[in-house]
Amino acid sequence: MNEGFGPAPGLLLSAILAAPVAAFAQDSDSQWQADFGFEARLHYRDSDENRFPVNFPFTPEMLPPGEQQGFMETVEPGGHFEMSLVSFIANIERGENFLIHSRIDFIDRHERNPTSGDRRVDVDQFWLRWGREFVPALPAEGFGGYVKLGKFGKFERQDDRHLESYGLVSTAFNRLEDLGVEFGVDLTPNFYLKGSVTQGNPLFIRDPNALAGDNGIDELRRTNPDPELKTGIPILYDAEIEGPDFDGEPEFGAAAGYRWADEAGRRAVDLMLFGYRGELEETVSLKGTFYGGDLDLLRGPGNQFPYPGLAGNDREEYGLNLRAYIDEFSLFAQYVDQELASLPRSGLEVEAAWRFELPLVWGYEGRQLFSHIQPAVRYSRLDNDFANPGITPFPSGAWDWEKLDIGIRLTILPGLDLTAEYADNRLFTAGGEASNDEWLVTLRWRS
Amino acid sequence: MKTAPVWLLSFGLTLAACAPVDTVSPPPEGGAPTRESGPSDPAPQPPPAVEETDADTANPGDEPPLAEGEDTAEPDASGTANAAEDTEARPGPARAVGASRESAPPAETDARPMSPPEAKPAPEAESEPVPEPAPEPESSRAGADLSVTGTIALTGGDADADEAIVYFLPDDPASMPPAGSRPEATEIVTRDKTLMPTVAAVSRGSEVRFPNEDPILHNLFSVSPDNGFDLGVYGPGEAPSVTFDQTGVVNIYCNVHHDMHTHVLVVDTPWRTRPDAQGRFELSGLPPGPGELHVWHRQSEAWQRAIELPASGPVDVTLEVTKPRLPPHRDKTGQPYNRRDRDPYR
Repeated sequence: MNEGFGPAPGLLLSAILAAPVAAFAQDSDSQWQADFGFEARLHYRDSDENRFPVNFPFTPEMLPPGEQQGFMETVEPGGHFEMSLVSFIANIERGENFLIHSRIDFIDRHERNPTSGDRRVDVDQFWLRWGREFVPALPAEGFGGYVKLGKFGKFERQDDRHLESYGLVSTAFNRLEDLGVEFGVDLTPNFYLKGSVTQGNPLFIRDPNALAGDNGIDELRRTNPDPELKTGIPILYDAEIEGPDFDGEPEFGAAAGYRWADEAGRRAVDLMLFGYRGELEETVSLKGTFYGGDLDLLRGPGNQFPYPGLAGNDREEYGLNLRAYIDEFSLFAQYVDQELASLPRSGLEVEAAWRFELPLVWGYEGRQLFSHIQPAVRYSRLDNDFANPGITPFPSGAWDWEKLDIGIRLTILPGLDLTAEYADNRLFTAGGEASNDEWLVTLRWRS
Repeated sequence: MKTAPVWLLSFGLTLAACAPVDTVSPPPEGGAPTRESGPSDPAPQPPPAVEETDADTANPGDEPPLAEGEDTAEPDASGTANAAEDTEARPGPARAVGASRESAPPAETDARPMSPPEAKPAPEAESEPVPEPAPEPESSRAGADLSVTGTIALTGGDADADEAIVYFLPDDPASMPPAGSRPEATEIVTRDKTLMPTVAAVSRGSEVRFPNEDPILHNLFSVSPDNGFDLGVYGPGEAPSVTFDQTGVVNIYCNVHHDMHTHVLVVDTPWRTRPDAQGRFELSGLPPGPGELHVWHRQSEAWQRAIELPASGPVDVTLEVTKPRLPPHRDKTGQPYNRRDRDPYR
């Protein structure tokens, strides 16, 4: 840990010592409870086949047999059945003021970090929370707060998703977990503050469709490689942290919000302003790829092909979240403005979903079969206000992009649902508009 | 920027250590939850808040319906006990706001809303469970057979007059039957994700059974003060029950299904009735002397008025509809129903 943390370690230690005492004192009548579960997802995915030439001067032995040029290609075109996720989940809690949450992935095909060469077993989340954290758009019961320590999702992340796919903003900025400490303060039932000191997610590239794409995998070091999974059409995104790493500068996050709900909580709104500030590392090593993350990525292969305008290593991000609920209708909107070493980009994402209860026709084991149907639509866009280098292996990193996801989810039984969705991608390339669309059907089982 | 978050962190840690005392405790098994911040239930006797019409002139020609007990609680001419008495005789543990489980017997109808005499159907013709009848008051057996008639009108919203409860509380405690001496047994049935009836009145100490006639699990609960309970999830054919030992309004919901609800009004008097669909009512078998006439409707503020029996004439009451049919409420843990990301049957 370097001096950039300043007094943070002492404060963390204070939190670790003081918060549990306070929480236990308040929950003296509560009992320890443990809850275990798992989640599995099966998919049928049908991806359009697209490829876009790149002008990077690959040598002939770096290209697949017979190819004269490198391409960005759809990761795995065509129709495929796959199991994308098997997760084990554990919660250990005492009342509402102490919770240990862990989620371990044994398969996580859609969130590989960042390639198929990633580790097979991944601690997706592991955190401890002291104090009570209210769900978004639910006013607190009074003055209070919480401290969370470990590997967790960012506080601006959409926590009640209605589609299996992700929008461009979530993929680019806050889809994956970070490691550090987060706290929240409920100033009043309606006004709140949040803050975080974290390691900071490494910057890397991935395709915004279901599969991330294989970039920088070991197989590419062989002569005339022709990997099974292709590069994808990647965008710049905040990858999952690989593990504890206190060598670099921490990322600081802060948020202020207002939330309101009616008595039943069925009509509610939550508006939150947030920001992050940190620094990009010279390079970040990620398992499964020999490409380096952060500045190493932005400077291009061999640090010879940087983005024009790349300067410094500051990383700043500001955004606005809006959540609204009206009975069975929900709306999530997020705007993010980011600068990566002076490279500006912004994104907007809006998702609307409805949930309709179906009449009781059949029951199974005491549960209603086919209890709800839920259509959802999400629009997202990413505006990269910087230009590509003259030579780059992934020109899509600077393309503007729009994505429209439309889907419908059928609740078969509680914990078992089927989602069918279509992702319509519009890519604004130097040569004009292009697409890279995908059907995704997901059977999700959570227990 | 590097110092501000540290300051915020310090502030947050201090506040977290001072987090408010949790006001929610997990409900004991089959017992009453202790949440204090849930939907509030009105006390049964708030002050009058609605328009009242004194009613010597109102609907003079209308023939009032019979009192609740009069048409359903009495043995028939042959001396055969009616359904209400069958239910009263049904064995079952009486616990203080506790749950008991048993398999549901065939749904029996032991009471129904009041109807005008000319439209009074035979009790056995009823197929839906309806509120229990009030047992015959002691004073009626003693020969006092006074009555109060009147009408209830609802204005300003969509509400059904026959969901009102009219009851009488005598000023003289000696006029009342001994407290707890006449508990009744009532059924509120779950069918097609609906609780029926949507309104029921019982005497304090009465047991209410909740047979589940759906093919799925339900979890009825109430966070009403003094009469709160949590039946837990229970399946088809099961019929847990709750004994209500405190007077008041009990709002009952299902933790699985947001729209399921019913109201139980627990009162300390056997003299009560429900109007017919036109709002006409008659309370009979009342003791002489002063007392209070109460009208409660789940969508209105409660109404009450002092009266002297025998009454001088019909009492017409106008209630303003101020509440929705389905009260705003959260699930038993205090979470909004529309944002739960978990198996609601658990």
